[in-house]
Amino acid sequence: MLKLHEGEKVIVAFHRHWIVIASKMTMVILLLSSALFFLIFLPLFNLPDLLLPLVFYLFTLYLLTVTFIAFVLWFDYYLDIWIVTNERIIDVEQKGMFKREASEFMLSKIQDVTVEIPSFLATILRYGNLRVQTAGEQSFVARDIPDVDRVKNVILSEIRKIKPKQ
Amino acid sequence: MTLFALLIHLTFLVIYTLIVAALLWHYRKYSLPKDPARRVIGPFLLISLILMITSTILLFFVPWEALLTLAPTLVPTLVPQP
Repeated sequence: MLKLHEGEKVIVAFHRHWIVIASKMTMVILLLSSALFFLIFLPLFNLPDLLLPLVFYLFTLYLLTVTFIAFVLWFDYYLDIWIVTNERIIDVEQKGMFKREASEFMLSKIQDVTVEIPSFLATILRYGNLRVQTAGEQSFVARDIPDVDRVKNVILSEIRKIKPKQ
Repeated sequence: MTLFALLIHLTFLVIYTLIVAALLWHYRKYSLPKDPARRVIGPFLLISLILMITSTILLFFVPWEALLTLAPTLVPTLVPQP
């Protein structure tokens, strides 16, 4: 996936903070819980015995579908990735199942790096947003990054190596 | 009727497998090697396989012909009685 130039090396690569996938998985937990409640309260429905095998068959198909949904959610989370090398920042964003967008920003063109900690939860869990502005007025925002201050320091450190103080 | 149900079921499983295979190919092409998050793939495939096998087995326990014959009489049973 990643083709590095000669002399280029990966300094750090990161996904979004785990809180992002955890909050998406609450939907999966809800779906599984509803299935569990249905199973627990199944005797109250007084279904004919003839229907029970069909109910269990459909239940396994339901679990299979929920498993697939969980995998797609994880897949979308996992393939959002930022890679900082000693030359550039690569921003890869997965949009949906098969659509993805990849951008590259040369470190030498970066002018501003801004860190935002958006909420109390973000302060506790140590994640935040990273905004990078380049000379060409292009910018990108990496949201929900774990240990965002460390990432900022890594980027600034690499920029200083490329552009020593004049 | 069982054969028809099996056909529908297998079609569903084939489509499911094809989509999952496409996602896995996409993931292998674009993921970073040695990324610990890759460990999710194994359990997902295992759970999917178990559920696919279980559902296929359960399919043969469903009395499809009887259900088709008795379907009109079963509908009032499914509607909750006051």
